[in-house]
Amino acid sequence: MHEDEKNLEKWKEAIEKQEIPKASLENAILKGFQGAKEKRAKQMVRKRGLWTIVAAAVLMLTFITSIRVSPVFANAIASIPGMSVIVDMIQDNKGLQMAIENEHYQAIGVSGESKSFKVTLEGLITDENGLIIFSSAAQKNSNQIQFSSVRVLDQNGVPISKNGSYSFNYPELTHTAELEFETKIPTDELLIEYTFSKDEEEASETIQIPFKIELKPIKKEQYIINETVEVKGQKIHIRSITIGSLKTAIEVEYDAENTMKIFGFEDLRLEDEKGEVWTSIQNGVTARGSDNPNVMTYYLQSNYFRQTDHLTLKFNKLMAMDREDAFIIIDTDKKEIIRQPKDKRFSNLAVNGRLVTIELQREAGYHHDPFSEYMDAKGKKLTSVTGTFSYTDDDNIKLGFEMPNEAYTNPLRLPLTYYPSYITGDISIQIK
Amino acid sequence: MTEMELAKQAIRGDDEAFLQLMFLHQEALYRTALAYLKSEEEALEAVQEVTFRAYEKISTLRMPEYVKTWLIRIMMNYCHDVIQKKKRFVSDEDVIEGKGISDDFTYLEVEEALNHLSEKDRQLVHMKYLHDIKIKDIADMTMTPEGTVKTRLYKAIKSLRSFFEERGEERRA
Repeated sequence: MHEDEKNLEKWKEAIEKQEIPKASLENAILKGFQGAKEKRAKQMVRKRGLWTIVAAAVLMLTFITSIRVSPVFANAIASIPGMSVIVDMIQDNKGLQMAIENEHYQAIGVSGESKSFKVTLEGLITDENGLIIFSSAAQKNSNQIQFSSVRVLDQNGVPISKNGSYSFNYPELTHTAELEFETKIPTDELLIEYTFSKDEEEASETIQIPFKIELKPIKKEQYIINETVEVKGQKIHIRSITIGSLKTAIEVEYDAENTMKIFGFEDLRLEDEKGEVWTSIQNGVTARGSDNPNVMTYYLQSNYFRQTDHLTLKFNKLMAMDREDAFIIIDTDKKEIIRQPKDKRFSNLAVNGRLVTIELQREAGYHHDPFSEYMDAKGKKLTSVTGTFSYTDDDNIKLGFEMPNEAYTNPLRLPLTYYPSYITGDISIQIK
Repeated sequence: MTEMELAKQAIRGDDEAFLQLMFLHQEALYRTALAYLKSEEEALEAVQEVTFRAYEKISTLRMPEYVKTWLIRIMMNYCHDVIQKKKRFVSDEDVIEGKGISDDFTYLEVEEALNHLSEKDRQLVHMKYLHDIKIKDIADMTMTPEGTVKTRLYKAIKSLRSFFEERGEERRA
């Protein structure tokens, strides 16, 4: 075998003689690492149920900030058991902080265990017909399973919650779940059920913890507005504003005749007579659609617990672009971008097996994935298996998605659901 | 910190330790990718992808002592997939196999011979001869008896040899 090994030795030498592009290599590792972190961050905000739930895709990863809380809030939480776990989760939501300051928080602190996890139901905050549940978890083994859903069951084990949206914080293993009920908040004994699963497989483990809601009922305040405003010729009907203890909901209809597709508000806010401002939810469900694609509900941090004499709804900037420009067409066989918006921000389409990547020229303050669904040449709707989001060296956003394992016909049409294109105005509507 | 300690921490979810591990083995990973893919650009992309996969999977690694072998195996599997995919789209063998990274005659000959091995055997040759991983470690890591690894390696070398001999005869003829 001597001769053969000598050949292999020479082969090895030839490979080892190659120079190592040190900087690029380190960079590749960092990019891979960043990509994996961002994927995990994305998984935190899981979209379940209605397709119309628009979850906040803003990636918090790069904005790790220190905890900023008001002294009042700091005092309020010091006395509540298990609260340190929760501070992180609500640091960017002053509506929830105010609920806690106003003692509208129920500490629970009961744990349950399954094979892989120990979960503690730390506490909850209710709204008129919904609630946010705060939990913390400890993993007991290294099985790769994750939180997949949380729901509330009645005493008979019948699920009574709907529209769950979850946010899982890694590596702290804290979890928030926002759930709604068909009715007012039930006051009898309930069960919370946590389900864990591996990848997207069937539920593999569940934990149930009994609890009872003891907070005072909340009555939402609703203001019917029905006012139409115009920004750059685009009509926006503000229908109503509903202030609850968890969030403020603003129902908006974009005029069907608008020449532009409006992706959303950049700075929708409520201002009181003292100039205090409540802005959008930073981390959680930021908006919800409806059966009518032009009707959207946007959520702001709640000002329910603040006494105000006057409130004004304001906004100055909308993400919007010409309707006829709001899509791209790509060919994954030819690896070509066939059509894209006039400002040509998309480039470097690459196809590697089922994985498609494309770059988008970055714009300050823009952290969205512009795609959510796509259609093939025959109009067949496709859903990508996974999505990735990262930044390249030359400051582009690199978007990746995995094509489903099924036949499709090129070219593909991808409607844009976000795009760094804006219109501005100065809108102010007094609501009380 | 030793490699073993780093690996243990990375398995527990320590990002810092994970990155240190990746930097520790970056050359081995890059060279593996280069040996398979023969292009600097593709090898770098492979390292990026393998970092991504390793980060997702590291919590499942049961044997921290074999983290290097584990990483190299992820790399080899990735490279193998990439090559398979290319084959599906490109029919021209020359394009697939490329020109190689060296003009050295023996290197080219070994590469060609390796291409005729099964992927399993090729991986074995890579681990043993490119990365000098001990047969015992390969056996532990792949949960194969040491004797079986030895036999397989021996057979792989034998088939490489018969490939060389055939070529030699062709040249002489």
